[in-house]
Amino acid sequence: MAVGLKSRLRLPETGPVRAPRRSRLAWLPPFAAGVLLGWLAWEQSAPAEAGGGSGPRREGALEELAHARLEQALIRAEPTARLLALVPAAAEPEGGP
Amino acid sequence: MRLRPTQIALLAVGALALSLAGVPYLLRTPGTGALRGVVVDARGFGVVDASVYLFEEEALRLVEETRTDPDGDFEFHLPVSGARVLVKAPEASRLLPAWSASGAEAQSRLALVLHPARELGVRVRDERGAPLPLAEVRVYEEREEVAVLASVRTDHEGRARLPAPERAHVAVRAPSEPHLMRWRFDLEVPAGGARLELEVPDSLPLSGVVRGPEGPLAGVVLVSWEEGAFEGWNGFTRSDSAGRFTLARTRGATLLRALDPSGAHLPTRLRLAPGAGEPLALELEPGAPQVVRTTRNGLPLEAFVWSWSPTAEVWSWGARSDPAGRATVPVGERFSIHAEPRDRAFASMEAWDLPYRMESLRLEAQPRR
Repeated sequence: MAVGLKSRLRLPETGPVRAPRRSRLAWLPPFAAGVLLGWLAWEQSAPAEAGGGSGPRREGALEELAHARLEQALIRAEPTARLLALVPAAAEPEGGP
Repeated sequence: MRLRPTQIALLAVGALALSLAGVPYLLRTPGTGALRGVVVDARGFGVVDASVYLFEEEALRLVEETRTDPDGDFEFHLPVSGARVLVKAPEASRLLPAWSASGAEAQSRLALVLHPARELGVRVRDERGAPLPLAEVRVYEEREEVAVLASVRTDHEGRARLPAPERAHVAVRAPSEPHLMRWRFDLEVPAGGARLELEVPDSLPLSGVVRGPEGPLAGVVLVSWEEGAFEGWNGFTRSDSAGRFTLARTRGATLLRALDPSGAHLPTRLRLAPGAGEPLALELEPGAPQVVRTTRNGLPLEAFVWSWSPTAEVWSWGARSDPAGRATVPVGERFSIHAEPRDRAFASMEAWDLPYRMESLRLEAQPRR
């Protein structure tokens, strides 16, 4: 009896009425937009003022920097000293002038 | 199955992209050789019969050796990653050796220029004035990168003769442990040659361990200077996997700096009183990772970047920016930045006494005046 009533209530032409379903990927555009905006904000962070410091502390730091630059460039050259030692002729002692 | 016009177009675009992606590979490995190049002198003439060595830099390994042909061309056949190439001309040509930059395999064809050699005579003595035999004498040249061009040992009279460029840095390294060094920076070598006297003082070992909050730190660069001596750079080393190191120092007061090339820790410096001391225990504080973007007209510009720690009064290890012009250096609550573009047409960039904020810092380069 109940089955017969249920089948009569259906509308065979249109089928059952359902609420519209949201796409599973609906979150993607706002997420992508958020990521893009975040990245742009990070990328466009304020450019620093060139210079700006002054006085003896800056002078002292720049003097230290000259040392540090040379020192680090020479340390970075250490592999060339070791590789050069692998070339047989380079390791030979030489007499002086 | 029938293809629609849209699918055909997509397939065509895909095939084109794939074929274009292969072009750099074809350019990089022309013919059967993995690496090709030419060796010329300063006038542009090919250098014949020069010895060319292919190294794997990271592994410190000589991979292949060849000679230049009558046009100065050479070719290596073994593929290497992290390749470095050295060229040595025949001795009679009186030309200096030359190094390629690191990662030579990235270039489709190397061009190495050999400049005229000048003669440098070096005499090495100890602090009592006695000749120092078997000391290692090195000549460094500074072009795009600094490299060691020649390395020889002194004879029984403490003498050595080396080829040198017009302007060189010269180092002597003591023959016995802990290998104290002495330097002559920016030495001008005239066309007729130069003679140099260097004195190597007696040395003492300076050992210790470097730690961070999580334990011992490996690969930290440690640098020792004799206080007050401009060319009194005692030497440098890197900490081992247990954070241990041994350096040379003299009997005088010593300045010690510890720099973390990984950029994770702030650098530090220490003054050591004269005389030998106990093994050191160095603690490096973690630094905040400051991203620095170096640009010209808003476009990426490759540079070396250093950060200044005002509390310790020491510069960090210089970070080389990536092709996108980005470098990361460790900073504390306040810091300063100095960036040096690799292209020397642009002036250095600075930013002073900034508070740390969690954002990248952009430095715009101006042409060098």
